Parts: sequence; structure tokens; C-alpha cells
Amino acid sequence: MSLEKPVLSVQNVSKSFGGVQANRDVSLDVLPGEVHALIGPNGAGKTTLISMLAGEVTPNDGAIYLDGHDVTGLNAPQRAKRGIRRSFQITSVFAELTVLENATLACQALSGRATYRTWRPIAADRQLRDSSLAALDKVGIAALADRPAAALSHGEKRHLELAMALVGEPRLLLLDEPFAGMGADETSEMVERLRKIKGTTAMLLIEHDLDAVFSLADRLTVLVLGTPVATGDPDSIRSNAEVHAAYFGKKPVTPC
Amino acid sequence: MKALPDWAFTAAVAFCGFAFFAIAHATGNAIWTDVASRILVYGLAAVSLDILVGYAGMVSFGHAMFLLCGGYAVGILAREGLVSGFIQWPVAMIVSGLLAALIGPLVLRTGGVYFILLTLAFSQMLFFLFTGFSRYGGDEGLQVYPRSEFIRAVDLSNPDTLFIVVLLVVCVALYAMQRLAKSPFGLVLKGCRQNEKRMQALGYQTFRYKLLAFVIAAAVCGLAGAMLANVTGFVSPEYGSWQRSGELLVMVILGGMGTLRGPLIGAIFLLMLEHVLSEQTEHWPLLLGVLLVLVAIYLPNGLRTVSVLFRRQSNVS
Ligand SMILES: Nc1ncnc2c1ncn2[C@@H]1O[C@H](COP(=O)(O)OP(=O)(O)OP(=O)(O)O)[C@@H](O)[C@H]1O
Ligand SMILES: [Mg+2]
Repeated sequence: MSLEKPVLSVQNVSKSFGGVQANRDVSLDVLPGEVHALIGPNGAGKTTLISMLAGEVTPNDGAIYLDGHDVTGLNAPQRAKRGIRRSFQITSVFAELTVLENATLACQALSGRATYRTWRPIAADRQLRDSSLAALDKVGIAALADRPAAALSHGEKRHLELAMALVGEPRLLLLDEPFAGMGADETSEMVERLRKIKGTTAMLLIEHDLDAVFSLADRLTVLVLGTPVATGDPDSIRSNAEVHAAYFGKKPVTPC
Repeated sequence: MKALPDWAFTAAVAFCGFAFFAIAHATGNAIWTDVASRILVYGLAAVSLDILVGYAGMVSFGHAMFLLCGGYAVGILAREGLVSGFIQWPVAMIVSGLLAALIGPLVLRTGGVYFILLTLAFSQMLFFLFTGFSRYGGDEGLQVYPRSEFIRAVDLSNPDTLFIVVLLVVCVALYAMQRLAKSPFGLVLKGCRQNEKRMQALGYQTFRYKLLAFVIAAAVCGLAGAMLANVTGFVSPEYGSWQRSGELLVMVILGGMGTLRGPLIGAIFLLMLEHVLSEQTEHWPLLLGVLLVLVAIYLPNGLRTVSVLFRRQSNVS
């Protein structure tokens, strides 16, 4: 496994907001096709880390490599073009646009110059329409294409959000609590969705729902107070004493 | 309900314009055309502002500076002996666009309230710059003489001819902006207004799109300024006063932003009302204020949605 070159490599990244140290000396990597879960209590710095990876927040220190290239100096759109795509903890779709238009925005972002066209109606672009519908179909919401995004249920919005992040076969997906606010049924549906995608693209997955996390992740990193305290496969994390102390609040049952 | 084609709105404006023209003449009120030309020009300026406010979510409080820019382009060129409208009007657009390209990178660094403040600041700077230009009339303003010259048959000092030219130009510009609203670029602007951070996460360098929108809106408003100079026969720094920028914003919001149709309706309504009320009483701004409050409360989507009121009534009865 260690022979594979990581898709993402984070090296000694730190970030503080004024007096609050959100991340301190974080290093981790995500291998090709791997689902790497990031868990940790509220305020551990998970979202801040994702925002730094996506280029929205500039780290105070450290470096971020995508496929071996230093991307630390690139801004969010530049990283998105290179294949780092994210979803947001707080549902973040374009509420006043239709579902199809949401997907279209994701699709045409990759087509470069065409987005500066001011004369030809967007509706005339069959190819774009088809690829937008295909993106929706991937997460099973193509039937909702003409609805305003605001009219979707919470779960459907989360799916739309995922569809937009998946456009263009990203190198790395950053998913910030994709199950947040979902009911049990919706969660298991989303887990299935992600399981289908798993292997095709590398994922860094933040999640509080530990059942979902353990069923999806190949590896986990536990973040506490902005610093990784453990990284490993699900079994080793389950039995890690430090993790239990910090995160689960109790010691694992040790055989005597 | 099937959506109307793009050109339907433009065609409706053209039709209403000609119908108005015919009626004004038939009833011996040819003098109306002057007011109508003015309304159309302001309507175009308001529609260009709507590209910023309603589509891209950039609330500019200095949009009238491009009226000033376009107006002075015509006034100064005429003064210096360059009278061809084929040159003056494009120059008005280019100069306005260039000004926007120049200040855009500064004002677009900020968002929200600071964007409002900075656009206001730049328009005030331009205002005071022109009050100091004594060669071009300073704060007294500048006669636009002669009017822009096109072909011999088109004499813009004739109010009727001017009205027809303004109507045609406004229709063409409206059509172009309708196309823009439905284009890939238009969708990007809507995305920027609703959630700029999301747009960046999708890979859009939102700054570039907003700058381009700023330049396009400025150029169109510059064209309106060029026409306004011909309608009034006079340009002054007042063209770019903050009150005028405010009026343009009122037209956009009153009519219904993000629709292009709305701001035109807003312009027609506001200027007609101003025209009628100011003849009745000097306290007309007070009445206007009351009306704005009523619209804000009962028609949050603008005058464009006035039919909602009747629908609501018929539901009750
Ligand atoms: N923009 C900011 N300005 C100031 N402080 C911030 C900012 N963003 C995050 N923080 C702080 O950094 C710390 C880490 O926040 P972060 O959102 O990364 O945690 P998290 O692990 O995602 O938590 P949760 O599980 O609740 O989503 C918190 O103390 C938070 O208050
Ligand atoms: Mg978070």
C-alpha cells in the first residue's frame, strides 16, 4: 500500500485564527481510490483542514501536494480545476436555480472559455444539457432536474451537492459531513451512493456518524484539538486507547 | 405556461414605443416624445444596472458615473468638432467600459456594503473632477452642440427622429442583454450572486466574471449617457450625482431586480410619476416615498408582479 504514490499529501500544516489554533502540525495522505475518514469531536479543526485543502483558507505553515505537485499557493478555483472538489458541511446549492442549472454550473466550470459566452443561450447547448443530466443521474436525482433547488428535501439537496462535486471525475473528493442532518433512511441511501463511487476517486470524508464511517473508510485519522492523534485502519482505530480517551470519552475494554 | 421567446419582450417594447408615438401625434401631444425618450434612456441605464444588482449581486451606488462618462464623451467630442454619432456613441461605450475596467479591480476586491461605498466614492470623484474642467463648462455643464450626426436623413435635433433612434437602439440593447441573461455567462453571474464561495469551489474565478459584468454594464450605461446627452442637449456633472445613482437603484428595485423587464417598468413608472406629481405639488418626493414603502411591503418582487395583488383579491372573494 505504501508503494502507491498518494493523491493528496498534507505536510505539517497549521492554522490559527487569532488566538484559536484550529490546526496544528497536521500531516496525512490520501492514496488513490482510498476513502480516508477524518473524525474528531466538534471544533477539532476538521472543516478548517478541508477548507485549507480546497484553497479557501490559507495555512500559516506547511504544504499541500496534489499528485506530487505543490498546490499550497493555488486558490480555490485553481485547485478545483486540478481536481480537488468539495462538498460543504452546511448544504450549499444554488437555491434559486433549478436542479439542472446547478448541475450545469458544475459541468460548464470545466469547459473554460465557453462560460464567457454572452450571446448563445445555454439551453441551446445539447451536449452541456446531456452531461448535466448525466451528473444528476449518477446520484439518482435526474427526475428532479426542472425543480427549483430550494424545493428539494434536505436529503435531495445533499445528493445534488454530491452530484456537483462529482462532475468531471475529480482526483480528490473532500466531503464535509455528507450525512449531516439526514434521517436514518437517507443516511443509508447516501452510504450506498458513496460505496458505489468508492474506488473510482480518492475521498477524504469527515463524518460524525461512526457506523457510516466505519463501514466506508479504508483508513481513519482522528483529529483532536487540531492535531492528528492516530491514523490507521478501522480495526486499529477502534482499539486505540488514545482515541478512546480523547474521542469516545472512555477506555476500550482491555482484556486482563 | 410556455416561456415566451427571447425577442418577445423586445418586440413588445418596440410595439408600445411606436404605438405611443402614433397616439402622441394623433392627439396633438408630440411634446410627449421628449419625455418618452428620456424614460427609455433611463430605462436602459436601469436595465444595465440590473445586470449588476439583480444578476451578479453587486449593488452599485455609483452607476450614474457611466451616464456622466457617456454623456461627456459625446459633449466633449462635439465641442472638439467630432460630431459623427458613429464615432461618438461607440467612444462613449468604450470610455465607460474602460473606466469600469480601471476601477473594477479596486471596487471588486470588496463585497456587500463596501462595494456600495466604493462605487459611491468613485462616482463622487468623477463628479468633482468634472466640476473642475473649466474648458468643458465646469459645474455649469456643457451644451451638446451640434447633436450627434448619423446620416443626413436622421436629424437628432428633431425630437421625433431622436425618439425613433433612441427606441431602436434601446430595443437592440435590451435584446442583447436578454441574450446575456440566458447565456452561460448569465448563469455564472446568477451563481455568483447566490453563493460566490460555492462558485469558487466549482472552479470559477468569480472575480473575472464580475469584472466583465461590471464592464459590460458600464458600456451599456455609457450608451445611455450618450443618448441622454442628445435628448437633453446638455451635459453636466449632475449626470453622475449620487442622487441619480440612487434613482437608478430605485428603478431597479421598484420594478423588480433580476428580470431586466422590471427595471424598465420601474423607470417608466418612476419618471412618469415624477413628471405628473411634480406638476401638482412641490412635495412630490414625499408622495413618492410613501409609494415606495407600499411597494416594498406589498410587492416585494417589484411592480412587475403587480398582478399578484389582483390575484390575491380574487382568491378572497
Ligand atoms: N473563520 C474562523 N475564524 C475564527 N475561528 C474559526 C474560524 N473557523 C473555525 N474557527 C475555529 O477553529 C476551530 C475549529 O473549527 P472547525 O470548524 O474546523 O471544527 P470542526 O472539526 O469542523 O467542527 P464540527 O464538527 O463542529 O464541524 C473552532 O474552535 C472554531 O471556532
Ligand atoms: Mg465542521
